[in-house]
Amino acid sequence: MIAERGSWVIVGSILIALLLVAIPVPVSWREYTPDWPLLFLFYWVLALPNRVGVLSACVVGILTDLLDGSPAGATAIGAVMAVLVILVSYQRIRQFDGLKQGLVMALLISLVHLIEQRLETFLGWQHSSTAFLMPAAVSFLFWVPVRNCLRFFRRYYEVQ
Amino acid sequence: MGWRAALGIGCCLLLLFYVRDHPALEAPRQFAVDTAAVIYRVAAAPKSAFIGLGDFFQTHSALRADKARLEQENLVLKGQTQKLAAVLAENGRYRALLRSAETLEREVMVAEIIAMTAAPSRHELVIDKGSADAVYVGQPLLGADGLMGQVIRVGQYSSQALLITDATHAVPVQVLRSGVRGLAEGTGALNRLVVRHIAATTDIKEGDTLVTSGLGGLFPAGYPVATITTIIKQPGSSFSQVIAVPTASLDRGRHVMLAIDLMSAGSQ
Repeated sequence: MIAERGSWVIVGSILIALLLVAIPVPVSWREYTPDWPLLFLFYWVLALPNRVGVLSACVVGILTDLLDGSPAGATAIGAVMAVLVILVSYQRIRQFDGLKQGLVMALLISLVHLIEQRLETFLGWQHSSTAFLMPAAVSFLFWVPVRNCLRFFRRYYEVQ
Repeated sequence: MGWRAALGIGCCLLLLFYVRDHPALEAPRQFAVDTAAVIYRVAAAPKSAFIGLGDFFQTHSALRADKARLEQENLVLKGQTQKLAAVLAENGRYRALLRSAETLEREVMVAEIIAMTAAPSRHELVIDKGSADAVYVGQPLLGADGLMGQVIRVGQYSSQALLITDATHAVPVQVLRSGVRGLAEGTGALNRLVVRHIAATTDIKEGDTLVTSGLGGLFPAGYPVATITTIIKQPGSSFSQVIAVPTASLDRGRHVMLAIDLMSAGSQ
């Protein structure tokens, strides 16, 4: 059994992801920002599936919801399901190259947004277009840089 | 893994469908609004610092030019206010003659915009006044040029407001010129409102100003909301499609005004 250490790196990176979400951008650019919290969360699940799992996904999802004003829990349900997928198949996903991994992540992020959008429509919110899927496409471009960056910090601080 | 996932999803469903509007959770909700405001403030800190630095290094001549312009503007506005007082008094007398109730007197409180929330499908602002400053849910939000929206979530020291262009927002309006009433709904685009249920034969023209009608009791009457840009009349249809652009600049400026209802301020 390996001793768990470096929790602060994981928590800190998620906090940074939330800050990245909150950075002010011009209104027309908002759809083209990647989904930072989910990208960061998926990396940690893929790297340390024994430590970061569905409960972490639930927490990160609820924090994201509180930040962007969605009903608390809407993103979290999708995040839990997406993380379940990664937990079941992390050994396979690890074998993929960056491009293929990015595609998987984009697919999972679009799944999360789709579930969130359905739940919100159910609760009386209204979505007029499919623009909510744009962050998933942009996240695809950001997967490799995010993965390399977080991997560097994981090894540097020996998080395990 | 399985039971944890079930637990997580169960908690979320509880949050979504039962706990969301539960009155017992007012304190955690306020805390969440305040925490979100702190995160938005920290994220915006580099930008605010940059703006602050720009202000600090403004040249003397630029400041003097600014001052001269503001003094002129102030003079013009003061002149207009004098006229306004006379008109208000006159209006009050007419209303008394017509035996109609006097309109509610409103004052405003200035709040600073911290950020626009991150969700691309939503138009919401985070502002720096909360329940400690007697902000309440439903309080109208005004910009310099017109109505901006209403407060929807209140924290202790900050709150979140929904803009009139959000796809879930609607505001009762009337045409200033003819008094025709309608409902201006948001579309999810910052420069576009749709006025619904306007019969094709109604007296309404492009360029007309829409003001709040005061129906519904939420927004005070008489504040400018939008200017009509396009009216599409389709032969055979009994309603015309009316599109308007908001008068307030919703994505610019650093300050907004919260209307204080003097008649019911005590009860809120």
